[in-house]
Amino acid sequence: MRSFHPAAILVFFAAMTIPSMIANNPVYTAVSLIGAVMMLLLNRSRSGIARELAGYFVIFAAMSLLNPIFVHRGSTPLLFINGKAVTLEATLYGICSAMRLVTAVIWCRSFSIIMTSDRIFCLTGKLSPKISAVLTMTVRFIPDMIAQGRKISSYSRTSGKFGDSAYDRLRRALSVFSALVTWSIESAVMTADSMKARGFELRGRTAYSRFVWSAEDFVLIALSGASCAAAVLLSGRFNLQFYPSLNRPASGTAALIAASAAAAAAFLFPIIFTLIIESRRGRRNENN
Amino acid sequence: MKATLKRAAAPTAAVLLVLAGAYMFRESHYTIISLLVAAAACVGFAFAFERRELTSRYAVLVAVMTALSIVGRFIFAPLPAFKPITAIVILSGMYLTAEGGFLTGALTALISNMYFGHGVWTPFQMLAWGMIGLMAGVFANQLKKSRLLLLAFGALTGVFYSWVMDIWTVLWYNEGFDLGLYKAALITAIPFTVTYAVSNVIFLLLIGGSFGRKLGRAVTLIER
Amino acid sequence: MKIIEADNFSFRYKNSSDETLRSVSFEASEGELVLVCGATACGKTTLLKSLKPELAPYGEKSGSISFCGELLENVPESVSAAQIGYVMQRPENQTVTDSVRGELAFGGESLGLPQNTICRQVAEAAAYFGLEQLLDQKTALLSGGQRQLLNLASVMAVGPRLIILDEPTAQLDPIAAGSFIRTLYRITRELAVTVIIAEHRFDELLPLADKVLLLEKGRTSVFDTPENAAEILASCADISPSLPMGLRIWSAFDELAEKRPPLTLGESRNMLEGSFGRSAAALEPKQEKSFGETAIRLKNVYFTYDRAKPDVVCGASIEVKSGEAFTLLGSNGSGKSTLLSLTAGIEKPYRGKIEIEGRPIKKYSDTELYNGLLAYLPQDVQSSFLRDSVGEELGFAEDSEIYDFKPLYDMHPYDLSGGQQQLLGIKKLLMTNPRIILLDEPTKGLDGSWRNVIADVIKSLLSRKITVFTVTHDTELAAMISDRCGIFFDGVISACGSPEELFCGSMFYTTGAVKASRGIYSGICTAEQLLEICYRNGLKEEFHESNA
Repeated sequence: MRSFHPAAILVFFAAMTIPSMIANNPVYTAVSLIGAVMMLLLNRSRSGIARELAGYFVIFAAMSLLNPIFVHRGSTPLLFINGKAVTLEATLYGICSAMRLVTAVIWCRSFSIIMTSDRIFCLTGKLSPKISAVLTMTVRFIPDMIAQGRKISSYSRTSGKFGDSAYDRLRRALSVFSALVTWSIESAVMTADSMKARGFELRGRTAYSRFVWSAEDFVLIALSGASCAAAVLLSGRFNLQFYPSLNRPASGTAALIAASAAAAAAFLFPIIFTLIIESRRGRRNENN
Repeated sequence: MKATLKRAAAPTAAVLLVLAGAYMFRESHYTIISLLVAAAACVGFAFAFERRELTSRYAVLVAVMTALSIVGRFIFAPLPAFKPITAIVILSGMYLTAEGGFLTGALTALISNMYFGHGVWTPFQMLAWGMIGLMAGVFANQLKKSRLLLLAFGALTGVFYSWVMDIWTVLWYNEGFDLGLYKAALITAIPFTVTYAVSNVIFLLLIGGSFGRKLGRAVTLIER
Repeated sequence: MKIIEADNFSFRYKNSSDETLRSVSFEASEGELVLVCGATACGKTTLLKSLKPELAPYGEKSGSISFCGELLENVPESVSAAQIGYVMQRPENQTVTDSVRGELAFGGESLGLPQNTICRQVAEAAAYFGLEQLLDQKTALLSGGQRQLLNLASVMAVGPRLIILDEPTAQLDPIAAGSFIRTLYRITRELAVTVIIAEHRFDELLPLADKVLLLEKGRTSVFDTPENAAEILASCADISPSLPMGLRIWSAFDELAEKRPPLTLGESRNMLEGSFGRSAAALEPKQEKSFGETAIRLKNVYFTYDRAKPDVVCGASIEVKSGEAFTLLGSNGSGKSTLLSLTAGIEKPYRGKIEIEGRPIKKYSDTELYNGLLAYLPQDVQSSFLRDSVGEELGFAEDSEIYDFKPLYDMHPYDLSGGQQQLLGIKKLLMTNPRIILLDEPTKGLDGSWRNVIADVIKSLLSRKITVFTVTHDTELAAMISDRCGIFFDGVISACGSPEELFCGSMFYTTGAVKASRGIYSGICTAEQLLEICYRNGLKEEFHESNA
């Protein structure tokens, strides 16, 4: 995945995430969920993965419960709480919704892992080289500020001006933050000098990035676009209706199955494509 | 005032675009449409920003403010929801114009999600914080004059942020806006809403005053 | 070809009544290395900034500065951005972007160059400065030396003809500083780039410079080759403590004036051997001082920041007596600062004991420990300033011990000179009346004369029976103040002993005086001692004859 151009990566993930959010069809969502988990396993380091997946399950469970508790639409009451009906429809809808939500979250998680800061700057650089410069500066300030904040904080502890009480600790945190603001502005002045000296204020800034376009990027964009379009176009046919009672769409069961299958298949194409590229990469490494 | 309005024009247009988009597509796919429109608003802002003259001092100060709001998240990590982000976005809008405020807010969302994980909510968050910075910039003169107004503004924006993000939660969860769910979301979020508002007030109270001085110092340092 | 030429250039700041620069004239041709020196606030920075149009200070100017034959005012912005490079003191503040690659590309991006050109610039600069392995590295993870090299490389990437550097090695450790200076020398010789550099310590730089410009109160005292400038440099009281050891001996004896001034270590040793007698081979040993109880005790201390990484401190033990001056030397990143913050109670060891005045450090509350017992000054003294004015920092105290800050009470601590900042830090420590003081690199970024000031302050602390535990790279400082020194290496403290024992026995961890006198005299480790023994031995007969 990492060998693709950032724009292609963005389109791919958008095309994966967005239909998963609107498609109200458990089959489609399940396919998407499997794809999302696969992508995560491929791109994430192994440590702590079980705990992370368990975390998603907890979110899923919590979110599934939320809907039937607060929404009382639907025609098949299961039980009554405080005189309000908890319906079968709302429960099913809750489960589907929660699955959609978790699927989107997992897609976003892979996206966050792959979309490193230099990839984001490549995209913002196309949009606005100036904003891109501000962005990279911010990202460079953060670790330096954290380091300085730590230094100020450890000094302030030994300064003898603050005691051990909770109030003193808050006072100390605030005074550290205030000193950090001063320091940051001070060092920013030097950074501004350094930028000015290197011609930041000249007109016609460009943005350099080492990412290059290749045919595969366009193939990925085309496949992603097609799969997204298919999902959106077919969604009218395969979206289930939950309220007032669970109902298949007007077009009939066969059409529903066909539409679900078609959308899921279209959905799989871009994933398979990236997997092919990914597996070749691995093979080349083995040969070396 | 005229200059402020002129600068605020582009972001305001972007915001209007969001509202118009949300209204036009109110029938279907709320989530996607609102998401795309929020993203479009940020992109529109970026284009407008690219065209303006940018001094290195201004660029660096916006970057510093953004970085500070994110670092503040780390420094006050032991205290949940007690974060200086909104306060800094407001100060940025007040002292670095409406555009600077919008940029600080939007970039804070974009970059802090690089650390805490991107999501579909990123464009929304960008727009919500961007708007806060923008408003602070538009009312900069009034906010600088009255301490009380500034604090009230801080409290209000805390509530505003919380409520806007709740709208999004409901939209996302429920494919369409459900008032019942929204109320539920608001109720569960009350402790957060209150902490947001209170922490904004505390931070503005504590750093709001000295901040003008500190920025003033940067200006003299650069002129020297 | 003349790259830069200043002709009777004077400058006065907007709100100041005095001129900061008064008719300064100098020039530099292609590939020349010009060293600018002078005491704090002599106008060095103002001069250097005036040479770079983007950074030129606001104020009243007269005279002219021209770049490649063109008046500086007429040089187009894009030309000055690309062809005049500027590197400043603090490496971390000059990096603009978050990655090495982005930093190298920044200049090209600003000039609006196309992708291909920038790519080539990045590739060339990375290769020439040996940064290829670091291209994907985040700038925040680089060491100070690497970061400063990156700053130089990214200025060089766009192909400048002139590079101006304002104390570029002040914040670097000696090894990194030396390699930085040699890189600079290389670009003047291999690429014919002109370099103008202001520096505060010249051991390494003076022999390499083509010209030396000495500024005193904004005037040119001398502008000449190092050899010809040596005498005037040595006579300037603020500069002489920073000069190479041989030059200081040379200037102390008028009879040597006929001889060529020794700039390199070899020349200095030749001079000592050839010109001085050797009847007194050593000075009498210092008196043994007696100290009180144990003030600080570390026993088998282990510590690491990151469980996945090797221990930074592994099994360090040391005892420091009350009233003693103990100095710990060690290379950069060896963890000696960590050891000091362990001693200060900021970090906690995972194994081993730390005792302050016989009681385990963890038994103290912060209030007990930091109010009257122990005080700690971090390496970056700026991180100890929590207020916005000097007066607030000192609580508007009335006393003037150590340094009289009263006239500076309205100033921001950041606006003080580096030496003053350090003194302010030390003075703040004394406000809690501590019995133990921990200092981390108190002479970082300071020139020779400020080093002497700091050494005197530390001696005055010692005379008040305060225990001083210092961590430093600065072997000269260590030799001046310590009762005992140790070397921190590989996570343990080794080789403890008196400065004489330690420095005279080491090849690299040693002072200029030892390097110059090794094998000629013994037990000499400070400049004072070397001068003393030279006076005692006197010059050889031939000099007296020739003088008579």
